[in-house]
This record gives sequence, structure tokens and C-alpha cells, in this order.
Amino acid sequence: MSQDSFQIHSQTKDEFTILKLQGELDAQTAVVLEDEFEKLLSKQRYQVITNGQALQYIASAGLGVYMAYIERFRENGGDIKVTHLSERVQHVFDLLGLPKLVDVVDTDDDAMLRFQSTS
Amino acid sequence: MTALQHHLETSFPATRAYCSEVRALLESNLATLALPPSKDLLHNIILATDELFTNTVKHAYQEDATKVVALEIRVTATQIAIEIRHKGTPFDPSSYTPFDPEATLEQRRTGGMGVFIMEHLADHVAFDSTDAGEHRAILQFNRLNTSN
Repeated sequence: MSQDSFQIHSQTKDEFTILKLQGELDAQTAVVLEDEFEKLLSKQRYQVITNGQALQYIASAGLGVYMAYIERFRENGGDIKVTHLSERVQHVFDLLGLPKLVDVVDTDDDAMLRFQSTS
Repeated sequence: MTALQHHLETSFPATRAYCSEVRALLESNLATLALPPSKDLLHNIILATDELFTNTVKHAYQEDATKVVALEIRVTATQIAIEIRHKGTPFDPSSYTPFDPEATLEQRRTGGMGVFIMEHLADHVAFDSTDAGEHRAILQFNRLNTSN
């Protein structure tokens, strides 16, 4: 009944911040991702990669966080890129049309290359 | 009427803190059936029910944790039905603006995603009310649907 079922492990690599998402991102835990995005905006860390390798589950509330924040990163020359989605999580992204709005790539290296090619 | 193979009625406080418990309850009840649903169908049932429970907590009860959301699981040879009942504000399909997955970021609204998911993952979704002032939503999933 807590937010323990979802954690974020943050790493920085040069100008990039890699957020490793772990567990279940739902209506209860979405605030954890919101708080992390707010922190990055306040630190002016605008080039963000969310790695979903350990993300076991996502509900619409989790996708709503991406939709609510991505424009704020883009307005500052950055982006939120999404990597390593499991087939199940990717299916939910696809169902709600997120890949049209959010850059979903296979690996963190691919995401960094995408940032560099558009900067 | 088709015989019930499995039946459970329970309730949860109307708070999103119980989303994970609702999911765990579905998994423990459905994955242990003699003929369990496929992993994809089980995920669809869990996600659609999670969205329905979340919407009920948020919109029917405005997150008032003193209120109660009833949940019922009914399993027959051909169907799995999840029913959620409450006595709060009923869902009004006529005032609901459907979610559009083709919309651009500027046009897009996050509201409606839950209903969109339910309608796409369940084989049938129904909302109605009883004379006793109870409102219910039923998600039906065909067990024999090979696309699941």
C-alpha cells in the first residue's frame, strides 16, 4: 500500500541523466516519477533517458506523467527518451499512441546518439 | 446460465494506495485456476481492472478512503468477468470525451486513457445502476479468444 513497489535509480553520464525505472508504475507510484522529473527540471538537467529494463508494469497514470512533462524538457532543448521497454510495457505505450509523441529506442546508447544527432 | 468455476467478492477502501493489492488479488485468483488464462490475457485483465479501480477511486469517490469499492470476480468455462460496484458519483458515458491515441501532444488530454484501455482490452464493458443506488461496471473477457 505504499510507493515501495516502484523505485528510480538515477545515474548521470556527461550531460545525460539515465533513470532506471524498477517495479510497477501505477496511479499510486506515478508521483515518484513526477517528483524525479521536477528535480531534473530544477537542476536544469534536460537530457533524460528512462530505462525500462526493470519496469514490470505500467498503467495509464504512468504514461500520463510522460505526457505531462515531455514538453517542459523539450522547451529547454532537451527531451525524455525511453529505452529497454519489455514487450508488455511497450504494448501499453503502443495502445495509447505514445511512440508518436515520445522517442522510444532500444538502448541507452541509441538514446544518447539520438540526442547528439538532434543537438 | 453457465456454471461458475470460481467466484470471489471482496472490497477495498477507495484509495489508489490499494491499486497494487487489487492487481495481486487478480493474479492470485486467476493464475491459480485449473485452466489459467494466458499471460497476455491475465495482463489485460489486471491492467483493465486497475484502470477501472483507479477511475472509481478518483471520480466516483474523489479519493475518499472512508468509502468502499466492491470487487467481484466471476469465472465460467468461457468468460472471466470483473465487476466493480460503488455508491459514489456514477460514470456518465454521455459526458465523456473519448481519448484519441492519434492526437498530437498539443491536442492530447490525459483524461479518458483508462476507459480507452478498458474498452480495448476487454471483450465487453458495461456500466449500469441499480434501484438501490449502487453503480457498477463490468469487464468481460472471453477465455477462448485466441487473440488473447
